[in-house]
Amino acid sequence: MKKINGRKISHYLVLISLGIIILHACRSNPAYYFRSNYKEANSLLHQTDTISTKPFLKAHLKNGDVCIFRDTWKVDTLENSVFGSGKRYDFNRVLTYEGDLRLPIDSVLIFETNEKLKGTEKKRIAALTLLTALNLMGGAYCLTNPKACFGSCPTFYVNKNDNFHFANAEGFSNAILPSMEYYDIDALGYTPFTGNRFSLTMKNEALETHCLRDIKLMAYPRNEDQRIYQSRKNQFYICENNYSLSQALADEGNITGLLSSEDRVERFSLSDGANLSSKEEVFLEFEEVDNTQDLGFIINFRQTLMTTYFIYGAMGYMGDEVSDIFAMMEEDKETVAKLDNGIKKELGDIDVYVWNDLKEEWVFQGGFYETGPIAFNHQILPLDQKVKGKKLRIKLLMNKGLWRMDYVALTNIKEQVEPLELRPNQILNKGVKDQRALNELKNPEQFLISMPGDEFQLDFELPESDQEYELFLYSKGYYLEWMREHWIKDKNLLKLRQMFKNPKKFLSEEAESYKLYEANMEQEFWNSKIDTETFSYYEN
Amino acid sequence: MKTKVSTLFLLISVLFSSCTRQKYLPNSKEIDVNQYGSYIEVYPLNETSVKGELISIDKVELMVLTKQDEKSILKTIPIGRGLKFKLRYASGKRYGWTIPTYTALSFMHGWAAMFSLPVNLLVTVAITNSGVQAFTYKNQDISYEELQMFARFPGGIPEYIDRDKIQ
Repeated sequence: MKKINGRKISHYLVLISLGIIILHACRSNPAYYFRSNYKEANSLLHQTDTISTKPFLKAHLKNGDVCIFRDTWKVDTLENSVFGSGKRYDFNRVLTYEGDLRLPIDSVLIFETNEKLKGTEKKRIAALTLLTALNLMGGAYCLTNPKACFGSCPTFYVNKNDNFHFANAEGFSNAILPSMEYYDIDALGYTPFTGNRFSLTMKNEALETHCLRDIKLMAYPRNEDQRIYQSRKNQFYICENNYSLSQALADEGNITGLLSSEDRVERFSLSDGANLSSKEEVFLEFEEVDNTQDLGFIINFRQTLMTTYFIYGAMGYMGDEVSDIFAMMEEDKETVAKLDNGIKKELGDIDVYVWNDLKEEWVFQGGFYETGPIAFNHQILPLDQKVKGKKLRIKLLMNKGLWRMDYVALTNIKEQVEPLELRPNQILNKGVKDQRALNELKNPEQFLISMPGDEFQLDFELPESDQEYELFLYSKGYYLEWMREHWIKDKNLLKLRQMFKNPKKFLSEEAESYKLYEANMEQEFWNSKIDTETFSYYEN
Repeated sequence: MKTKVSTLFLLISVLFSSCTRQKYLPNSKEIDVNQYGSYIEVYPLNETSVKGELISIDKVELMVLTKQDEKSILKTIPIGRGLKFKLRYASGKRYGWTIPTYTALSFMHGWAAMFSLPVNLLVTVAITNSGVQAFTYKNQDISYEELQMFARFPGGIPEYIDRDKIQ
């Protein structure tokens, strides 16, 4: 049984009503003039003689019969009759005669003629033709660029009415198989709320089956001047002070404005048309670092659609053997390692280097990596470098066309902390309390299954209502991408093998075709909003 | 819940209204050779509606051949203020199939279905409804005198025809 979202229904209802109103408003004036009645033969003769094509003639007789003459009828003014070939029906409209007919005019009560209705369907067919063309164009685009039209992973929202452009977190983007299940922690950023009740909405906005083993809210109390940041290794640091960026330079020039504030205006680059694993450098300068002890580099980032393209590309290459290959991967204990050492390794992290004035060289500090193009990751990297004076220079080395960055800054790490872990105390499914979903999340042996279109509201209770908390979301599970029929035609097992065995060569060879629609894909993705039909796992 | 039910009802009624077809109604290309009267739905004030073939109409009353328990009955409806009617003189083309078809097509568009689905729904529902509404006149479109032309007996039922025998 398919479910339909109430809010969307209201939108559609309004649109449908509008359509009907528009249509009524646009209806042409009724044209009943196609039919004419004549009580006298003379007026019939005069008015039909002038028209080029003689119409069929219907003669309503005084006895209730009707005679329908073909367009060869004539009026005999001498005999005062009308004749021609046709059909005669009685008052119950039963056919009583067919052939040559001759009727005395005084037996006829009313003559009737009708003009042929022409082009009655013209407007409707034109509208349908236009609609078909638009649909086919859209369909053709998605068939040729399937990776641009489909896909995501579990998305989480503080404001449930937001669309995926404003998702606060996305869960386990790499877990495309049960064996690849892992947990993912995402910072929810600054999320003001009142009282001690916090709600988060989890949506399935793609053609995927999401299997969630666990969801926890991680919270740490903070005061006004403090922030808690999470490192890539999921260590949490309470931090004070914030040092803004003084200057940022990249290949395209000065990008300071793009990275100075958390405004969702991001810096990103396009991929290298010759090799998808080409690297680029971004140079950052912080000039007013008052306290250079225990510095942490903070960054808000996410990926472009490049990795999404590879995931769907791989599935396309599997073609109709997708389930066999997935089963094989599932049984191979080294699948995760193989994938990590494949394209992922080749593409690399956002590597962070700090300039050492004494040695006059860049010193590697660590890297950031998180799969997924939807939600921003807010992370910290503790820096291990002595700094002279108040100035610090940082270099980011990253793959071209893979990363989008919104914000960078420096902060002082006060101490490492352990946040509280809170499980949802209530789950609402379409506004209704869902005890089964709650039980499934509580039981580590079970999964909460979320199907396309599903939305769950997760309610958490925080210990104190008058305390500000820094919040993080822990989600554990995996998802199964739904194979699309049109992907099957892309089957290419050799290409798939190259992708896994020789990612360097693959990235070089794939560059040209990726470039072909990179710009379109980005535009399509960011101009669109995910919407899927609702499917239910439990009601099937 | 109410919204869901009403939406579903609206869509189903649009779909099915395009399927109701009177056997005696010609298609639009055969209006000149049809021997029957047009189909009419009459809504008298404070009374239940009457639907069937328009048999005759004069200044006082109109007569409709309607079906009751599979039997044809000739009903007389007095013409007065507030009498509403809807007349269909030809069968419209059915476009109900376009609603599910184009809805399904939308899902070819992935995320862009958010845009294509409402557009497809809007246009196909409008076209289906327009197909249903085609070849119809309402009381505000046509006078009683003009309505006579669409009756089986435009000059009235001949006196010597037994009205009970009209089928």
